[in-house]
Amino acid sequence: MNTLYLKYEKKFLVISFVALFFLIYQKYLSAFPVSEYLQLAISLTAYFLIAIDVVIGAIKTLVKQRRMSEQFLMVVATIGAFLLADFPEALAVMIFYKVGELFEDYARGRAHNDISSLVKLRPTSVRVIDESGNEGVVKPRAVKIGQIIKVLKGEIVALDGDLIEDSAAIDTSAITGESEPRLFLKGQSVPSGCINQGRVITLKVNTLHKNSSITRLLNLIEDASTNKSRPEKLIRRFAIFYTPIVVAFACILALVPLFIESATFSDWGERALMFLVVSCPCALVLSVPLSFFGGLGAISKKGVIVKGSIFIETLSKIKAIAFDKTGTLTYGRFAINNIECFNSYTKEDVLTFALSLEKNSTHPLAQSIVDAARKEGLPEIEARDIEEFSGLGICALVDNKKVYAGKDLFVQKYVDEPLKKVNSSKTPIYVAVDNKLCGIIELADEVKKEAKDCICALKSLGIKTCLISGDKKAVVEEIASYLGIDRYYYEQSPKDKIEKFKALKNKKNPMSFVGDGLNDAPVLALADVGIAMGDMGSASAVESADIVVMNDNLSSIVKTIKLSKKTLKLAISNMYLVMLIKLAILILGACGIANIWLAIFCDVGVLILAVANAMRSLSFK
Amino acid sequence: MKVRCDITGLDCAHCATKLEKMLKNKFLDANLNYALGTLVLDVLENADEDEVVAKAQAVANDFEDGIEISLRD
Repeated sequence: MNTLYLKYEKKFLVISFVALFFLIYQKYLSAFPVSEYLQLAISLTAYFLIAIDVVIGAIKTLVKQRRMSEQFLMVVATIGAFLLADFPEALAVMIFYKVGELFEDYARGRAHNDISSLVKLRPTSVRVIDESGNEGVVKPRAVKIGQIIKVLKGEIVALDGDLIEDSAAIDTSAITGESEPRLFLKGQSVPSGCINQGRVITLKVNTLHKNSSITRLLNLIEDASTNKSRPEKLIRRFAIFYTPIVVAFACILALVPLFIESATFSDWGERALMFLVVSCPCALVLSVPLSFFGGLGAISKKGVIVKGSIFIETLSKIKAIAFDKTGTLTYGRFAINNIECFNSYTKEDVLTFALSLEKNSTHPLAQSIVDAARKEGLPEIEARDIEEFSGLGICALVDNKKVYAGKDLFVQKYVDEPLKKVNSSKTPIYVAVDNKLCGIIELADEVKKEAKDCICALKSLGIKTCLISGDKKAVVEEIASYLGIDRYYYEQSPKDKIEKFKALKNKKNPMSFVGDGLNDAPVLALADVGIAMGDMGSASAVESADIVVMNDNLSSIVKTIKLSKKTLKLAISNMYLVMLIKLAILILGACGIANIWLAIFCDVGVLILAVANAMRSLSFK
Repeated sequence: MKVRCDITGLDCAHCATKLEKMLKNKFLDANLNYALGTLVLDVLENADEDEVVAKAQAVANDFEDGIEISLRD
């Protein structure tokens, strides 16, 4: 019955519109109107065609919960209009109430689809391959860890899993905002929510659906509604009081003629009806959260997840940002900065010797040297008699030459001449061959290439920057001056970091902290807005931070701040727009200047205006 | 424990906040997102998800006709 009605709802609406125009013509324009009874009959028929569900709903809530719903107020308003013989008005109130509802539905649908490309990526089914090789389609909930799933080209990866094929091209844009497909290698975990772009791949599931990366992210977005911003809280409180107060005023207005003789029921009744028409605070209750939600969606398209509108609000007012160094401003991986050669060896010689030795070491610095040397395409000479001194260095026979590589203290023991000291902002690896120094490889943590632009952009937004690092003075100083950071603190233990941040934050302005979420979780929690950087969102980062940057790109922070400012401005302008228009109608209505028509158009008009305005935030760039 | 549901059939944003308030009284916590059409219920650990949804549906039925709450897959 209900669905049948919904099917014809729009047609009924069109019919009643026609009826409405006819009635308006009869009442205001026609010189010889048809009889009042005919008008009443037409308006009543049209009214029940569109309003039957509203009337039933209103009565049900009244009986079941002894509560006057918005629907009830609309019904009262229309009945009042009928009693005053304002037939077109009565019909118009109901028609536009319906139009408003339809528009709300439309806006919500758009928001639902548009808010985040993530929501669309919610996988509903997954191809599982059992031991005998048969393929079956099941719900992601039902898949256990260790099962094999198949993902066709263009399909969404439903569950996190380790890649079984040698390589795969995966589109991670929904999660990271990065449009370039990413290459995954055999054994790497492919996160759910990504799209398979290349050939058919199979994955060995490594996480249950309820803990998978796409579910975690979707949950974040959902739970974001708990962290409400102040404008949202304000309108929620406002909405609770608004309706009863307006209805109370309507009753008072309706009763005025009892006490003042010159007042007529039809005049004051109409004023009371006007109050009822604008008694629903829906425009407000929908448009402000929708503005924020659209903002969250627009930000998520940049690969940044914000855990609630409160953080949009705080972020847009931020005055200072403190950064962690390693993994945040830098890539957290060492790269060769400079190679100094001695005793007529060339750079290639130094690297070749280093490569032969270091490829046998597991030290992270060794790995950086090996990567760099391989990139140069240098020959890989096998080393013999390898001996590794943990934390110091490594020695071996290469081409029948005794080669040493490692810290200065280690290499010094085997070299006759005194070793040259290097700038302390670098980490040097000394390479010696047959008791002679061959070269010094200077390594440094690479600064992210967008870091300088990011700091610059923050400055132009009037935000102070600050660097808090556990690293040596020389390293921190150099990075701070290179990037143009206002203040820096070096050699800070995790505990010092907390103290330092507390001291900085103590001023009135909100302050943010950007870290990688690995060892600075307490500071992230302490900050007014904690921002975690991380590739595809490591679990710890996602949990401890208020904002998670999924693509490890510093410029996303600047974009997020700009979008937050825009969103907040939009939400607040919407709030004032709706409040002022409603207030204006109420005042004009009470004074008898406005009529029902104005009230109807303002009520629906302001709803459409505010919601359409709010939806702009969906397409923020 | 959080039970995540989809919710359809809500009429207006303001009614949604009212329903949310009613649900908050019945569960540890309830968060209704009108724009997304989602409902997140906080319940005791090990609660039966289907029972939780049924209970929420009962609250919704008391509130208004035509609201449907279903468990997320």
